[in-house]
Amino acid sequence: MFDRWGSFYLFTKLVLVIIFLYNTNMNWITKSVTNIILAFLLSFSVSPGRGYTQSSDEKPIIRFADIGWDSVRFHNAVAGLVAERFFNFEARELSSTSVIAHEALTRGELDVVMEEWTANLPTYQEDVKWGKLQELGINFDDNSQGFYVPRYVIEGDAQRGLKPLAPGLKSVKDLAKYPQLFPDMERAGRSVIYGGIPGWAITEIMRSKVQYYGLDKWFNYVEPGTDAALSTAIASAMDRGVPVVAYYWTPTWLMGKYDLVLLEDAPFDAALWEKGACACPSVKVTVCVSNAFAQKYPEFCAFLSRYRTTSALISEALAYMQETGADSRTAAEWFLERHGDFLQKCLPDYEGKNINGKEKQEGLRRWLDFPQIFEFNVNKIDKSLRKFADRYYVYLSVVSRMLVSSVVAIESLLNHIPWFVILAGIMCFGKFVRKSWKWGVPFCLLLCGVGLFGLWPLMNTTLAIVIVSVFWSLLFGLPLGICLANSQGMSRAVRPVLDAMQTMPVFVYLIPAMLFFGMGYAPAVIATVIYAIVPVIRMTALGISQVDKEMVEASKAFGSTWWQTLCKVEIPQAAPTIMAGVNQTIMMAMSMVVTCSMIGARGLGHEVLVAVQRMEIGRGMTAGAGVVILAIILDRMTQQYKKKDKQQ
Amino acid sequence: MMDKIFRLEHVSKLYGGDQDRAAELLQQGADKETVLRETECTAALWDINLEISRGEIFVVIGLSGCGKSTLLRCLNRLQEPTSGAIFFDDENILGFNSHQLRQFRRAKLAMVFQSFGLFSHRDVLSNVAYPLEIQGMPKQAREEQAKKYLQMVGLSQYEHTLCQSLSGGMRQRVGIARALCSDAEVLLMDEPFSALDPLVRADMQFELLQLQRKLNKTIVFITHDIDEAFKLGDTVAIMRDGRIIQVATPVEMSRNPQDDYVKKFIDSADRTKVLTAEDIMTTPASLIKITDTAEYALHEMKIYGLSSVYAVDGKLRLKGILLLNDAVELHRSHKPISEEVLKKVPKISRTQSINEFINLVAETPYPVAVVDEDNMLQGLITRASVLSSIG
Repeated sequence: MFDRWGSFYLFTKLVLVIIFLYNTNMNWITKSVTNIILAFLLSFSVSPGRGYTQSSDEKPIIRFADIGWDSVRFHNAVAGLVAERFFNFEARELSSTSVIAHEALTRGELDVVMEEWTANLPTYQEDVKWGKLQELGINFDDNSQGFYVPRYVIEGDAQRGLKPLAPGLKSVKDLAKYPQLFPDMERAGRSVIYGGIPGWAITEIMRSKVQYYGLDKWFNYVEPGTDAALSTAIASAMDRGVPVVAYYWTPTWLMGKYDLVLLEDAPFDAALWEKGACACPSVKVTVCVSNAFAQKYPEFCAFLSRYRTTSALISEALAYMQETGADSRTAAEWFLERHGDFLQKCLPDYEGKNINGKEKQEGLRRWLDFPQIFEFNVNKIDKSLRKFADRYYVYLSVVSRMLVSSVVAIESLLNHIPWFVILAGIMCFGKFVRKSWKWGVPFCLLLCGVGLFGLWPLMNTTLAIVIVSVFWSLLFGLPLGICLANSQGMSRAVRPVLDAMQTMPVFVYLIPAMLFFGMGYAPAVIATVIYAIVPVIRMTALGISQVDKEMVEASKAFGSTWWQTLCKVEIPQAAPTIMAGVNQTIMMAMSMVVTCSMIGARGLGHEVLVAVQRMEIGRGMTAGAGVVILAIILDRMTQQYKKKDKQQ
Repeated sequence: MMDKIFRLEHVSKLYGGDQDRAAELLQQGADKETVLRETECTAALWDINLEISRGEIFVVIGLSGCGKSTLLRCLNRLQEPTSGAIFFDDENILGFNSHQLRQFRRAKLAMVFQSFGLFSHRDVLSNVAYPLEIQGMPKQAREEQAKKYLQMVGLSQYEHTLCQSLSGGMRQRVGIARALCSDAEVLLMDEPFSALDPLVRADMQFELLQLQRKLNKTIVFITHDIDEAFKLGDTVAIMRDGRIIQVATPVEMSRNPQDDYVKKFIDSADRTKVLTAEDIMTTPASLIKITDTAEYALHEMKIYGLSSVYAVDGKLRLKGILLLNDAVELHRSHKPISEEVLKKVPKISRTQSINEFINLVAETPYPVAVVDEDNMLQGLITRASVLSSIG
């Protein structure tokens, strides 16, 4: 028998299997979109409906939401320690985002969310009112959020040799005096304010604030996609001593590490709040549990309702984590040891047990665990990366500027070509490659669809990113492929690197790319190139090494130079295979579009991301369909060329 | 003494393994397999010494894997010999830098391949013009020249066809036209006719000989077919396991095979194609001069037990054959021997091969005469001598 969630889980599995089967036959096209939908579906069924069912010898599992912030992880670790030591739970963390975690909590798929940012969740008040979840108490409410600038922008920094660039900058309103300090590389002549994360309620309010103060005359309000992107944008700017203005909040490690100043605003007024005309109030950050959990474990909920911290306490713990590289568990132990009274307050029947007395593990268990001998200091990698980014900022920014300006140029070119000219062009191209209007017309109609949904400018942006990425992929990929075909040693050396490029999770290099090249188009192009360059390298190498040996010998025997052999024999012979690689590269570049929106690349992908984070399914699907249409057209065009070549 | 165009001295080509040790073993006369087993080194070529004369067809023959293709590719350095020297007109081509090598390949050499090596993305004309194209000749000029050679191989009407749509024989003609197009002195042909069916092969061999008569190139020809080798070759080199076993003219080789291996190889060939009239003719037992009397002729026939006798003039030029009956008639009527009574006889030149005159010998009731260019009698061929030579 399946309970409700069990069947939903099965359904999701089924969808996954179907999509997988499809994917094997499909191009990369729809992958990006199906993956998004998949992630979306999975987020509903965070875990199978095995909730609290447990056999007698199994500990009950308590599921904490890991929203992706260190502060939440820290709270989870503290509460988790207590749950394990005093309530005999087994604590688990499930990764999610704040909106999805909230949604999952109302459905009982998560048990505890330690930080519910009440003002940032659009449906929070309603959900509490309707009893969809249980608010147990306030975790902390002395936080602040708003637009921040680095202190050196206002006061300068003698040590680093930074002059005060905006001595008169005190309030949000004052930003109007200094728009030139915060240029938007992607929009010439405009400035940029980094806004909130798509899907958070505060993001829209901050947008209204920009409009309310008339800042939108100079400033673009850019949503960075993810909070990792936002914090990296701020951190990398501050490492370089460059002015930046961005939405941020406390308590965070960023605030602990960097000296940022909150721009003043009118005092909070509930009536003006929605318009963005006043300062953000301290947000009530609450601890919430699902209804089922509250019913089943009232004792633990009693502990959670007394769980109360402050921004200062949290920042202390976060700073400890940041400095020592400790994980949240270690930080929690360190914290409980340091603040003995904390437990006393929220666990009145606490009987002086030593929480840090580690449970004696059974001999067998310990023996089975893989022995860890080396403590690897990953912090050093972080530091050296940052140092590198800082030291070579000049060169990196040249690359970054070049990439951004090429994307911008192509984008504005596409925007300046009237839509009907592009449609006509596509139609003719369709006819040209397939020698029949039968293909030109559907391409044209599909594109019409994109335009009619109002996605035309977004499509142009996406197309510009794809064009630039593919251009660089080919520029590096083709010669590299040729080298690999000609040199066995090099091939042996490079192949593992290619494997790594294809399988390394994108986020691993997405964030460093942002550290080096800022936010937006530049890291997006670079991450896309890293991901999409592989097929063109492989297929070029394959194609060239498969050229008939006698043909190459013939060419050489008649006295061709290396270059002549390459251009007159090897490349024309390998052309169908190389084109297959180019086609794959284009498709993979398309599939990166959504991922890249997480580091602030605009376009269709950003639209999908925003929609999904706000759970606007319809909007997500339209934008997703736009991605698919664009991908199909690009695919068919290049595929046709490939086939045409084969027929010859 | 003919002019030598290529001279190979101690050319060796070793792959992989411990080459120093392999060389040592080979020096001691170890065979290829022992060397491979002991040193993991493949000896593709070992100590090749050859001279190739200008204007000859030099055929290298051997079983597959004997190194003959490697040898050919060493001549234009598609493969680099491990050691030794290759002289082309007394210049060591192994000392060429890449620029010199390219010029050498462009000006002096052309190559024809077993599976044609045609560029499938180009049409026939631009395939043929390729050697000129890479030398930077303007399009019009090179296409004109290419057309000339296409005509020579009889493919004028196929200029703009893609190579795939041609038959094997036609493709190889394109290959040959391409090789001729750069007007190189030396044609390197790597089993050019092996991929063709036997009838087409025979045609192509014939055509190659015709072309050679016209163009008089130096041709280095690789084959594994002894018939082809003997048919085309002025000189034949036979290879085994990376070594040259014997270099000789076809006739010399079939007469005096160096060892059993060569003999076995030759035995597999059709000897009627190899041996010529010269090889099997016998000296006439008896001859009469046209000025002799019939009585003398009868006397000669009686002594040697013949039913006919050849008549020559004072300079040993063949006049005809005097049959026994005619001699008896002349003797009875006391007439002198005159040209009228002599029967005209079929003549064979001394260089014709057996298969060319075997039918003639079979049909003629008396021995067939072998003469030289001046009609001087060289010898006779009887049915018996033909049969014994084949057996």
